[in-house]
Amino acid sequence: MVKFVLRRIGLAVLSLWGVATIVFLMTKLIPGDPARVAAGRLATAEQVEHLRTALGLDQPLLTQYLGFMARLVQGDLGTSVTTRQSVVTDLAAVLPTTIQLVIVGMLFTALIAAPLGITAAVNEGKASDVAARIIMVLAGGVPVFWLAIMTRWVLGSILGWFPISGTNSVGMAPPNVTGFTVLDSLLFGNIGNVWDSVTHLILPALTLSAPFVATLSRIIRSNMMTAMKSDYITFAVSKGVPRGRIIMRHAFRSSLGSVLTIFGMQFGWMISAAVLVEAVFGLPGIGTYLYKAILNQDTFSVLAAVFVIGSVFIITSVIVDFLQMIIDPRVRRAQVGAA
Amino acid sequence: MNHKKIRAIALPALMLSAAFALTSCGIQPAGTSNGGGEKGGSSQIVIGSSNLAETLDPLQAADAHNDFNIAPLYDRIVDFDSDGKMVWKLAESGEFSDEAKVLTLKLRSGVKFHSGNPLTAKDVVYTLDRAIKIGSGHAALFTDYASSEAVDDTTVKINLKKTNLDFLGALANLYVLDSELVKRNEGSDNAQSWLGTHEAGSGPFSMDKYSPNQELDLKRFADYWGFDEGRPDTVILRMINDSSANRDEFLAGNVDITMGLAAPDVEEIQKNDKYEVINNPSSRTTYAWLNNAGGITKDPKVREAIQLAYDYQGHLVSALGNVGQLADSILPAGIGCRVDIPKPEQDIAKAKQLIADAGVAGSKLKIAYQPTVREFNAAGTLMQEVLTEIGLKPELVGVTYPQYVALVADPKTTPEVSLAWDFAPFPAPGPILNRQYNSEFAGQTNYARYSNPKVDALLNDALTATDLDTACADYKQVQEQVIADHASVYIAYPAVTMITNKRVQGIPFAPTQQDFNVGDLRMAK
Repeated sequence: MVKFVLRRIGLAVLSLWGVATIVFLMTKLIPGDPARVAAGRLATAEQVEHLRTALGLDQPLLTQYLGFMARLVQGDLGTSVTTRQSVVTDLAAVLPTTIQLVIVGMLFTALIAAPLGITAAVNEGKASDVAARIIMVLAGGVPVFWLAIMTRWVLGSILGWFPISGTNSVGMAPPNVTGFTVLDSLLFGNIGNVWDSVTHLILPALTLSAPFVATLSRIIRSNMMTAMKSDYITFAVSKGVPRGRIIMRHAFRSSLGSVLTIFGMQFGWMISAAVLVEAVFGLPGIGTYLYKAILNQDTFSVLAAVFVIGSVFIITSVIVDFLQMIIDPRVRRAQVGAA
Repeated sequence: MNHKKIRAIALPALMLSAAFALTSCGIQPAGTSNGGGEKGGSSQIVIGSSNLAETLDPLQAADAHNDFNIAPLYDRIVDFDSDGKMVWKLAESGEFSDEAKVLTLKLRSGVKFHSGNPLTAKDVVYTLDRAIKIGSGHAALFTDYASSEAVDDTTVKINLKKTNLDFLGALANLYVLDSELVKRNEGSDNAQSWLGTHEAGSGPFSMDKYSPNQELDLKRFADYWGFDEGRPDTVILRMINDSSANRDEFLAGNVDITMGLAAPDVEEIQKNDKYEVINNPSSRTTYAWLNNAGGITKDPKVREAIQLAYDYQGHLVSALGNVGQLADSILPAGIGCRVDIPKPEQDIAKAKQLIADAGVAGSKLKIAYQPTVREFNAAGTLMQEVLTEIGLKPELVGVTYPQYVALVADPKTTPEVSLAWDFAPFPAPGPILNRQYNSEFAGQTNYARYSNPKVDALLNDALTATDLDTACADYKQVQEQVIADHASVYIAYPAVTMITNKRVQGIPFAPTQQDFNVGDLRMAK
């Protein structure tokens, strides 16, 4: 068991190193001169060269790479050439917005995908199954940015049910303590701020969750359908176990293994997918930050943002592996046996 | 299915429905702004724009997005009015001596920073020294700065490396810092990090609250030397990157002023009497820079052919939505000492003939454009169409601005045609002509890689002239030569379109700003 855990953590560290190296090399391949970006559009050649030296961009590639890795292990991701802030400070300011959005998006995904998948599976071939499958196809097939624009326009602008953009209305932002607006509003103790923060999250989170609802509900439906046809379910039915209990306790629980894996991995995927949703809803998250950094060729910021997204993905997959092992004795036996 | 299980399945759906129901009721906490300006009283203005500040460090105000947010927090030594005439601001007067190598400024007395510290000559000295030390952003305008000294609290003596009459105008881009406050937060980076999210200014507004990439809340500064009750009590600058979101926020009544909307949206809004559409001139010119040093555009005949082939009227209509005007000079609008050029007109037949004369029919060439800018999307297509029509084989290459700058930096990668804007940081012909056409800056700010020794000599004479008339005559000769060389295509002066709900009294044109100066806003009576 310990051996398995150590091996998994070792693999994660190796993956993080791989991500850092690939991203570093990719930023070097993007055409553009970060020193000129830092110096500004009016800068003279001397000013550009001065900044190139100050930023260490005049060093050979290997020296730059070793310097980057050395700083990385100390938690220093460099300084942004456009914001002039430490990239860690920049990320600390934008990450809570994205994490909050993704958590609520995950919540919506679970709340919608589970009933949808179960309903479709237990009513296989009936009208409710067809309806559920249509919803799944639509949720998965409609591009997220289009859905975001349409929901914002219809539900926000025309009907006025939801705020249009931002994390808070004018004058309603709570004092920044954690960066999570809902949590900060709770700490601030004003129900008005809490409500304002929550309503600003609903549309972006719902939009973000749409493709993930499609994926998850399809897997739940498929797993449930297989489980419902298995011998132990036939046995439970013949014993007269109530249908609800068969569905939830036997069929649904036994389907949870791969569902949990996919659901867990969706956390990382959602962070990547948040880029478009944040842009449409004007949320200052890591997606918006990364988009601006790429446009400005802010190398250190691009490196850090992609590294953080990659890290979240890798760490999530490790956590999911561990959780699966804890929940499912079959996985535990298989992993320990292999280790 | 028993009740317990039904509940288990139905609960999530119910919770979701409840959330929808509650939000659809439009429940909002007391005090939530539901119409721009209501919350902060009648004197609050909310501006929604895509001007996301990367930093609030005034040295980086060379970036228009930053400057929009920074300008109301700070004050300048001099400024320019809407006619492009220099006006004194923090300085009451100033004069050059020693062949314009020394500039002595007399500062206004009694000016206070938002911190309460008095603004004195030592603050001006500190601000200039800091700019040179950091060497980025607006520091590029002060390369002739040698040193300065505070003679007394209200007198600053600035020593220049060489004669430079434009230095005084360039001070319109120097936002004076509260040296005492900044020194306390200098850290190891000359306070670049601290000033990124704080302010140390003396402008008409002080910072109330700042959420990066989201919102900057400004409060009218009661001790401002030019205090005017007509300014709004508070101004909220909402940073919304997406123009359609800005439109929706404006129409929902959540913002009072917005800009950067698509032409069809502006047309639609214009039909409603509740709103006012203001089209101001700008210091921006749209160019098609032609590579004067390489490719087929090295040949002046080809450059002239491209000038003649371009569809200027089509640009005005499809790229600018009829908001702006065609360029009538190689200088941006509102700058003196200009040589007018006839309004550009398309002549495909003559262009074809020139291409045939140059013997380059069927040649390939690249057109670099920035797809993120609406105007360049249309202009790229127009350019591609006309160049195909005159017998060339153009290829459109989408680039970001940093990529474009990097391409131009290398003679081997400089595209034959590059669609881009350029701005005059202040309305004077010298600095912009020098950086666009002096061969010293080829591949840097001389995007066309233009090189003509005669022009270099004239520019050097003009920049070191000790009287404005001599300089002006030289600048006119420079323009005549550049026009004769068919250096590039001077397309248009795009206007800046702002939409208001009439809660402010117009919006004056500010030649040193890309959009407008928030400090100039006054509430409608």
